[in-house]
Amino acid sequence: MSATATHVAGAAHDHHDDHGPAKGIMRWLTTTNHKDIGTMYLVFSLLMFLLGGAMALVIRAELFMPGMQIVDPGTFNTLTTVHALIMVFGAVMPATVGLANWMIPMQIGAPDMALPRMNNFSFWLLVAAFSLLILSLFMPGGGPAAGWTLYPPLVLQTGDALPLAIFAIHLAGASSIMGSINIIVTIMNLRAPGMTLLKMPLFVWTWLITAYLLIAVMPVFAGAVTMLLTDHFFHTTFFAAAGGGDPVLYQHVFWFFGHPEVYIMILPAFGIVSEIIPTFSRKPLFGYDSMVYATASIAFLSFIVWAHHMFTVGMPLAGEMFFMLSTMLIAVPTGVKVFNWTATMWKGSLSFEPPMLFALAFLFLFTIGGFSGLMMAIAPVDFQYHDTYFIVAHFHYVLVPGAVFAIIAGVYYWLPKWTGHMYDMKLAKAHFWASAIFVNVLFFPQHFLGLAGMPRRIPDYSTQFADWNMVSSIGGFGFGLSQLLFVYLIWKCVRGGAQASARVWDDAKTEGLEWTVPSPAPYHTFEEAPVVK
Amino acid sequence: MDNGPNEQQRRGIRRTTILLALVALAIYVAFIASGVIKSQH
Amino acid sequence: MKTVKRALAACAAFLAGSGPAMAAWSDLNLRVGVTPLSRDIHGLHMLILWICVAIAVAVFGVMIYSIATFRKSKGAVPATFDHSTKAEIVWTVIPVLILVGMAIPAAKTLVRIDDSSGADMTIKVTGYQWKWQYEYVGQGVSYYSTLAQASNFARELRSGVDPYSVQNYLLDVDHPLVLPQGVKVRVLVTSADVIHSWWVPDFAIKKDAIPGYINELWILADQAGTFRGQCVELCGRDHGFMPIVVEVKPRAEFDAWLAEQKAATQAANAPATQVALNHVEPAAVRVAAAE
Repeated sequence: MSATATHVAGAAHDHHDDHGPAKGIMRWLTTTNHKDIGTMYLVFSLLMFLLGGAMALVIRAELFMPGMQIVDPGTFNTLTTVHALIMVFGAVMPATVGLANWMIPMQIGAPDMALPRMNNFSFWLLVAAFSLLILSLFMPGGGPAAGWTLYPPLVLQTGDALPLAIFAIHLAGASSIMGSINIIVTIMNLRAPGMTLLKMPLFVWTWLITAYLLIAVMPVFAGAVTMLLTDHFFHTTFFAAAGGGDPVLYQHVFWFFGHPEVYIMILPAFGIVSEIIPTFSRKPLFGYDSMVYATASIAFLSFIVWAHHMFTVGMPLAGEMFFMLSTMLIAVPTGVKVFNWTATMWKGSLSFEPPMLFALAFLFLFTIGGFSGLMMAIAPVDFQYHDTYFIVAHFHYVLVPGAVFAIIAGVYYWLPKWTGHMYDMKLAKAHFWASAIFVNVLFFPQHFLGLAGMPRRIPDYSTQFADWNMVSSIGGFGFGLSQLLFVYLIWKCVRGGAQASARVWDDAKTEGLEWTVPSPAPYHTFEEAPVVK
Repeated sequence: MDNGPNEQQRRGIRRTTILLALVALAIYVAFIASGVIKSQH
Repeated sequence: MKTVKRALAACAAFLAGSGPAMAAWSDLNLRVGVTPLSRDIHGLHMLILWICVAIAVAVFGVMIYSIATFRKSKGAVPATFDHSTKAEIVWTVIPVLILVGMAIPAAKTLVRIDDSSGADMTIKVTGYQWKWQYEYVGQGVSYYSTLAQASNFARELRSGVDPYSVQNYLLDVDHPLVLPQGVKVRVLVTSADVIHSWWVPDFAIKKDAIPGYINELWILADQAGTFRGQCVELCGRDHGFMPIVVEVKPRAEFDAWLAEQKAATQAANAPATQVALNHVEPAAVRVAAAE
């Protein structure tokens, strides 16, 4: 990071003596520069990805064979809970926010985010949030262990970790809301002349819609956990059946947030992939307009499908029917997207640089996650799949080779633009193949485990599940270790490498304003707005 | 910033920010209120 | 058909490593189960699975074809088209039709699942941290069902006991639920503390046990035998250690068993029946005595 700092500082020094970055640590603490903040978000998310990944490896090690070998069941529950919270709120979301910070101003021709000081505040609030969450692991009574969904009444049995975890969620939520406001305000007000809404790159579009989703549902989650807090400390009974409350109400409120949250993680990924596939197919994105409409439809549908996470709570028949049908509908706009990406490649001229490789893996493996999603939409069959390893396989397919692969693709796509250096292509391809193979060894067998009847969130299992668990764990270790290649590659690229040109991918079809500025992108870009034809 | 947003953009930024912040706050309050109403039955 | 399935299973096992190479197709897929509903649901699962496989073959086929054919390294010249209204209508309408085709059988099954009318007997299942209580409603028979001793000992952290040496490791209980074969049984599910979820894969239906709620499901097991399941809603430290075992007995055997339980319960409730206690199921006595 420090190398980026000097390098970017150097570039800035040439052109902008008047306002380059401050020196030393104060630069990062006080920065209002969207590129610095983007970098901080990305570094933070990488650290969280490694921390959450380390927790996952302990989980997989415990599940390597039947019997309890490494952790006690309580610790195991804490690990599953905190692994999920870290990966969702600490790794995937901040990574997409980091990409948004770096790329949205550069893609719409704005000099910076509209609210640069709030931008800084959003980031440091997130650091505070995760400090609290990690601190909660060391509280008397153990860390949060009720699952990332924090269902009452179980979550109310948490010890002193509960208020810390809830405040962590509040802070992370506030950070997300401020970040989203910033993104919407930037896109709505700071587009370069001529950059009409329907000329914006898809990454900007998907983030605009994501930001609206965040503003709509983050307060809902904050409200739900606030009610948990008052139930625990102030004798309210929102969710306590004994006091006239309703534990299922929490689940409705949680999933009213939770389902859009799923799309908050995947829509920016759609945007990234929609940038990369046309570039390396050397052909315009197929169906730009329908991509935008499909994204908007998915966002809309995300508000009316939440109870498909709760088919087993005993809803009335009409409710199950409604949520089954509305959920099935999501397949239509999602299908449109997959078909559009495929049609973009059709009769193109494809090459397979690392970003394209990850985007293609996304395309295949996210689609597999889509199929299992469609299967689980069918309420009667979901009575079998629900809360088994089948769902674990499903959401890991859409989140790991889905969202995470798209984020990695985005990093490989824009990294030379950020650092000014090309990275080690061979190493990146090795990282790709290792990741793509191990991620399937890790998650595909979990489909079999779920269908065979293994519940999720159990620290130990019957011997009939042993074989596939062992395979899955081997895949897990392989996948985890492969990511160290990624860390090393980024480190190496920041330190040096062949000079990247402004267009970076010279023989591909790069479109968009970010490729018109030099590499590395100067500390300040588009101080004079470009004119978009 | 010498080349920062112009006056019209600043107005737009201020207006959109306040509006969105109020929306977020309203949703937060509304959901807690719905919980309060439900738990009083 | 069978060979194809075997080949698929073998391929999958091979791809994944040598360990499970012996795994049969039945270990990879949802089980058919022993109730009319479980068979319906299995059929629905297979229908949707094959539809997904067919779509996957088509979509992945086009993707793979594109990747193999339209390569820059092969000198492919990119076309310039960026939309086709006709194609977009086709790939919006066809998925809608497929979804309708899935929704109709799914809705029918959902309605059947919901209809618990005409049940001959009712069992109340209550979840506790971390055991189940089974009550034969109106029969005065009720008892707890907890993880079997052998498993409970072996599952301690670094217990030194090889799980493979324990019969039905983690899927065995002291007192299983006993159900009659060929009788429609209504099961009411609730909880005394946190949320649990009651699931036996061979009966297909899973329902959450929620404090303050009584959920309902029905079982019509048409095969006798022992069927095993687990709690499937995270319920705290020992969530993984509260299995469910159901013994389905032929009607006559079941009636005899129930009569025995009733007698035992009555005996336990009556004073000075110490002698009789030796002959009855200990669980029933313990619970009845506790009440």
